[in-house]
Amino acid sequence: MIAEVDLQLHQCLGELIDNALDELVEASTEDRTLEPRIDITLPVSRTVGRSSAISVEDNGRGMSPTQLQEALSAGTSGKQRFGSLGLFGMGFNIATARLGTITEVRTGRSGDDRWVIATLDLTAMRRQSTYEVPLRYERKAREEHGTLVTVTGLREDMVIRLKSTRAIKETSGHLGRIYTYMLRDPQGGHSGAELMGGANQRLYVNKRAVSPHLPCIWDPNRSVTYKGSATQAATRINIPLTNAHACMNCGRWYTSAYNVCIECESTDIEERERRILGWLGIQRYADKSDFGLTFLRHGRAITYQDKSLFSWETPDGDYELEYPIELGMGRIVGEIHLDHAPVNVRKSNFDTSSHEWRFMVDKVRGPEPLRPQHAKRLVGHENTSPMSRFFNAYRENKAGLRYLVPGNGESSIHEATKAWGAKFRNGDPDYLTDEKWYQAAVDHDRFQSGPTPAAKLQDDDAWLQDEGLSHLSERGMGSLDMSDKDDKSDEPELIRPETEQERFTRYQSAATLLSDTDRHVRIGDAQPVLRVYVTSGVELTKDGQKQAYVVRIVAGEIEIYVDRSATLIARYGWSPMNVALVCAAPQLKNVYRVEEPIDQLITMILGQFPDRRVDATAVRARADSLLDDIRERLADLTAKDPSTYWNTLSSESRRAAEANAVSIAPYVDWSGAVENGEYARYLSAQGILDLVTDSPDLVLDGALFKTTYTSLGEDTRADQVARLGALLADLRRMTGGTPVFQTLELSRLLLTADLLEAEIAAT
Amino acid sequence: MGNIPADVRTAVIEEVVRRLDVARWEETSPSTASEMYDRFVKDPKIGGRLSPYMAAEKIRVWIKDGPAKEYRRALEGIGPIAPYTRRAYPGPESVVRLALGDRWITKTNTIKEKPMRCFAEGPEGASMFVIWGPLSALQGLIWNSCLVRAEDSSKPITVVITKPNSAPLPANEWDLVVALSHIVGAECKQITYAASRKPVL
Repeated sequence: MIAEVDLQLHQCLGELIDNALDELVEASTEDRTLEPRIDITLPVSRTVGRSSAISVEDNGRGMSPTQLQEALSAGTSGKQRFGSLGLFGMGFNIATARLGTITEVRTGRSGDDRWVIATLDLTAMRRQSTYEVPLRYERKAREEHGTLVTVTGLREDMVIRLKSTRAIKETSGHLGRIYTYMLRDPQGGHSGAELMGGANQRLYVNKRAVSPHLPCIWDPNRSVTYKGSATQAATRINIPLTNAHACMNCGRWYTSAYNVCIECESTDIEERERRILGWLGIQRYADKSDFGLTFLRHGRAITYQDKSLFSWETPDGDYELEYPIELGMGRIVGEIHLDHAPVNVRKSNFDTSSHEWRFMVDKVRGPEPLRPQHAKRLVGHENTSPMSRFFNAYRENKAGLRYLVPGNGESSIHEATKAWGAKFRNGDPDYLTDEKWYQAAVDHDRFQSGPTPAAKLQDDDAWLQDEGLSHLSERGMGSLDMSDKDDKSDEPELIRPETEQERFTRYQSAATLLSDTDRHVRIGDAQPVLRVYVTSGVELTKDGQKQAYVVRIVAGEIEIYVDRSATLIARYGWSPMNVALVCAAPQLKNVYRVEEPIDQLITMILGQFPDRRVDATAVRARADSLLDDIRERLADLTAKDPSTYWNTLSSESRRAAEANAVSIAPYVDWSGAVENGEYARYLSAQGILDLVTDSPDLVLDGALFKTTYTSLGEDTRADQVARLGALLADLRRMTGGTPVFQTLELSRLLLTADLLEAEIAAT
Repeated sequence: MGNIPADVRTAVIEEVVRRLDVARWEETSPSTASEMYDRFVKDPKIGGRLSPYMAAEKIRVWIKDGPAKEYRRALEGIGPIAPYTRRAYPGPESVVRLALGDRWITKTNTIKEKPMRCFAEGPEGASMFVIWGPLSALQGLIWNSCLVRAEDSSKPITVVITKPNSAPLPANEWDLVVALSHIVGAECKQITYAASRKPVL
C-alpha cells in the first residue's frame, strides 16, 4: 500500500538523503576532520533490471544495534524528529518501498568491530505477519563508520525510469536544486555567496559530485535608487517569531504549551525559538520562468522557483498577478527557510493554508498590493514589505544602471546575460562575480549618453598636440609637477613607427566593447569569437588612411572597431553593430569562405543576437509600463482639483477610463474615483493627451513633464504642447489599437518611448 | 620555471593546492580537471602571478605537471606540496591494518609510490607485499604485482582497492579485481580509504 504513494526517483532518494544529511551535519560538527559525503549508486541504463540495487551511503557516525532497531520500528521515529529533515519511519518506509521490495540497512560506529545489518523484506513480513526485524552482523574494521541503505528487487516503473540514458543526469539535476543550500559553499567566491549561506555538504551520484544549482544574483553591494535611497540588490530576511512549543518526537509545533502531543502522544514537548530566515535578491538575468522564491525546511528545498508571492490576494480571495509585468520576464529570486512550517508527506509543498505559511506571506510579501499607488487606493496605505521594496526598485527590465540591467547600447540583453548565467553555473571565474553584468549596464548608459567628457578632452588634447600647443592642454595646464618637462625637451625625439599591436591597443584604450558581443558566433563552418568595439576620440586608420571602421581577424577572433562619430552612426542613426557588420561583411565572407551573398551573411550573424531583434511585444510592454508610470504620477495632480480636470477630458477619454477601471477592478467605486481624482489611474494615452492639450498648466513645467510652458510666449507654448502631444499620440498608438509589426515603425516607437521617458520630470 | 621567485612560486602553489583541496581533486573527472586548468590560467591569483615569468601556454602545463600531478601523492604525505594540503589520507599503516588486520605492521622504509606500495610484517615473521590504489589504478596495481611475482614466485601479495566510502564495490567490478589478482597469485581486498581534513593546529 505504501509503495503506491506517488514519489519520483529523486523524491525517494531525497528521503534517504535527508536522513543522511541530518546525521552528517551533526557528525561534522562533532568531528572537524570528517569530510562528510553521501554516495548514491544507481544502476546504469544498459545493465538495470529488477535485481539491480540502488544504494545510499553516508560516512556519518553510524548506529548501534539498539539504535538501528529503534530507528526501523515501522511508523514511528527512533530518533528525535525535531530539527531533522527526515526520519526512519513512514518517510523511509514509503521511499524504500517505492524503489523496490527488499531494503537492507547496514550501519556501524567507529570503534565497533562489526557492522549491524537489518533486512526489511516487506513481502515476507506481510506473509509472516511479523514486523520484527532480526539483525545480522558482519566483521568490520574499527575505523569504518557510516550507514548504507541498499534497495533491491526494484519496482518495474523504477527500472523503466532508470533505463533512460538521461535518468542519472536528470536525477542529479533535481538533487542539485533540492539540496542547493546543503551543498553550496558559503565561501564560494561568487557574488552573494556569504549572504546566501550554505552547509558545504557533499553528495555523489555514481561517483560524480552533485553540483548545487547556485542562485546567480547581483552582489549585495550593488543598488539602485528608489524613493531617494539605495535599495540593495540582495538583502537578508530575518524575522523573529514568538517562541513556540515543539514536539521533540514528531516535530509538530504548538503556539501554547501542551503536555501531550496530539499527533504522536509524546510528552517530550519543549519551548523553542522560531525565526523566518533567508534572503531576497535580484537575478543577474531576466527570464520568463527562471526566477521566483525557493522555500526550504531544514535546508531542503520544498518548493523551487515559487511565484505565488508575486500575486496579490484580493479581499474576495482572487489573485492578481503583480510580477513580472514587463515582457513577462522576472528576476526576483530568493530563499526563505521555514523550519517551523508544516509540509506535505511528499515534502513537495508547504501547507499553504497553515498559520505559519500565511504569517510568512504577510511578513515577506505583505498583505497589500506590491504596487504602491494601487495599494494606497485600495487599502489606504503602501505595502512596506521587503518584497514590495524590491518589486518597486527593480520592476523594470530597462537597460542601464537605473534598474541594474545589462544592455548593448540599444536594448536589454536578456538572452546574452542568460548565457553568461550558464557560464556562472559552470564555474567560469570570469562570470562568478557580477562584474561583467555590471560593466554591461555601465557601458549601456555610456553608449546612451554619448562620449564621456574624458574622451572629449582627449580629442582636444590631440588637436592641441597636432598644433604644437600641447602645453596648453588640460593635462599640461593642470600639471603642477613641472618635473615632466625634463631636460629631454630640447633633444629630438626618436620617432619609431607604431606596431600593429600598439595601434590596436591604442584603439582599445579609447573603446567600449558592445556587451553582447565577445562570444562565439557561427560564420560559415567556423565559430570565431566576435568583438565589436565602439571608439571615441581616436582616429581609426588603415594604411595611413582615416577609416570609420577597422577589422582585425587573428587566430579565430574577429575584432571590429567602429568610430562613434562615423557618418552612418552620427548622421543616419545606424547602430554601431549594424555598421560593424555591414562594413566587415566582405572581409568576413572572404576569410571564412562563405558562399551566401553578403545580406544573408549579415542576417545569419544578426540572427545569433536575439536581443537585437525589434520585437512588437517588447515595444508594447515598454509602452504599458510608461503609461502606468505617467498615470500613477498624474493621480497626485488631479486630486488637487478633480472636477476641473475631469471636465477637461473628452467624453471618449472619460468612457475609456471608466471601461479600463471596470476591467482592472470590477467593483471599483467609480463616482468616488471621479470625485477624488483617482480616475487618473485609469486614463488612456488619449486621456493624458487631453490633459496636456487642455490643461497644460497642470502637467507641464516639471509637474509631470519637464516641458517648459508658462514662461514662454503664446506661439512657443503651442509648439511645446504640440511636440509633447506628438509623443503621446505615439504612446496611444503603442498601447491601443492594432498591434504594430513593421520593424521601422517599431524602431520609431521605441525612440518615442525613450524621448517620452526623458520628458518625465524627476519625482 | 626556474626563474620564478621563490615567494611567488610558494604563493601560487598554496593557492592552487587550496583550490584542489576544495575541489577534492582526486575525485575530479578529466573533463572537469581540464576546465579547472583553464580557470587557473585565467585566475589573477594563479595565472596572473605566473604570467610575468612564463608564456600563457606554459602556465597550464606548469600547473598540470606540477601541483596537480603531485596532489594525490601529497594526500599520502609524500612530495614537495604535501605540507600545503589541508587534507590527508589515513596513510600506509591504515591500509595495512584494514587489509590484513591489527597484527600486521608496515615496514616504513619499504614504502614506495606510483602506485603506493610497501612490505608488511605479520605474525611469526610473515612478510607481505601490499599495493593499493583506487579501482581506476587497477592496471598499475596488477603490473607492479607482476614485477614482484617475477622476482619471487612465492612472495605473498595483497592488492588493495581503496574506496572513499564503506559501500562495497559493484559485483562486476570486484569480480574483475578478483580475476586479475588470481592470475598474479595475489589476494585482494577492498577498504575504505577516504581523505579527511587535517586538524587545525
